[in-house]
Amino acid sequence: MILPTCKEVSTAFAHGEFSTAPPLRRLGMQLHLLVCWHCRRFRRQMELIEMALKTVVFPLPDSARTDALKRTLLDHLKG
Amino acid sequence: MEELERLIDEYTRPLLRGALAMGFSESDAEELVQDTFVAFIKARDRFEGRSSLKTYLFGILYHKGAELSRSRKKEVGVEDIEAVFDAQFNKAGHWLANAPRGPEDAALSNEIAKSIALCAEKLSATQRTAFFLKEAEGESTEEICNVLGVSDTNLRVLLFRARLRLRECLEKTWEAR
Repeated sequence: MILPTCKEVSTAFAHGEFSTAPPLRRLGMQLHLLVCWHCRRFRRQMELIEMALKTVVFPLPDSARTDALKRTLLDHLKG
Repeated sequence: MEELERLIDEYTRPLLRGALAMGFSESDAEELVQDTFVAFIKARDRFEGRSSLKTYLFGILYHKGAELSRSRKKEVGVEDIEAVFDAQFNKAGHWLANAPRGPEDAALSNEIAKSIALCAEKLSATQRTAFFLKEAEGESTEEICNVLGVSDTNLRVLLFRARLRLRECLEKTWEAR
């Protein structure tokens, strides 16, 4: 089995395709990661970005402001 | 009228969050949410139920937001991020010296999260909306494509470029500390 290159491995991570890759391809990428710290760093950075997008980048709007907007909308749209 | 109240109660918060995610100020975001409801009520007969009501409302919000951005000529600089990515590899497809740089922590610290949030502000409204729908709202690829009016392939490329752009920005922010 020929190991994938750094570019192929990092492209797969940037596409978010590692977990859905076919088994043989995933095995090739895992073996590549064992010997390549550049790609391990790239993968960690992609994971950090995904975590941040899920948890901190899009905060929930302020509750009081949301409630005030609901009241404004009801007044406006009922009228 | 009860239906209107239920609609407002259920969807105001996610729509407001979506408008903020697109990069609008709080006052613009509130106006966009109002415009979205008005547009929906005016044309509610056109809603055929092919997508969920939430997706349909997000679609209106996205288009209203795009109109507002266009009217203000709020354009994000277009840098060929794929060329930047490609330039980091040699002809054999291996990383050039010193690449990639930036954080390598396993956990998301406050500092990294803050850097990523700042970098996300520099993404286009479409990229931010796609991420918001995918990561924060957990919408399916099909629903995101409906909202943005793009194909599966376009969405895949859009998210790929956005992730590369975020990583590139994170690297630069980290180096400049």
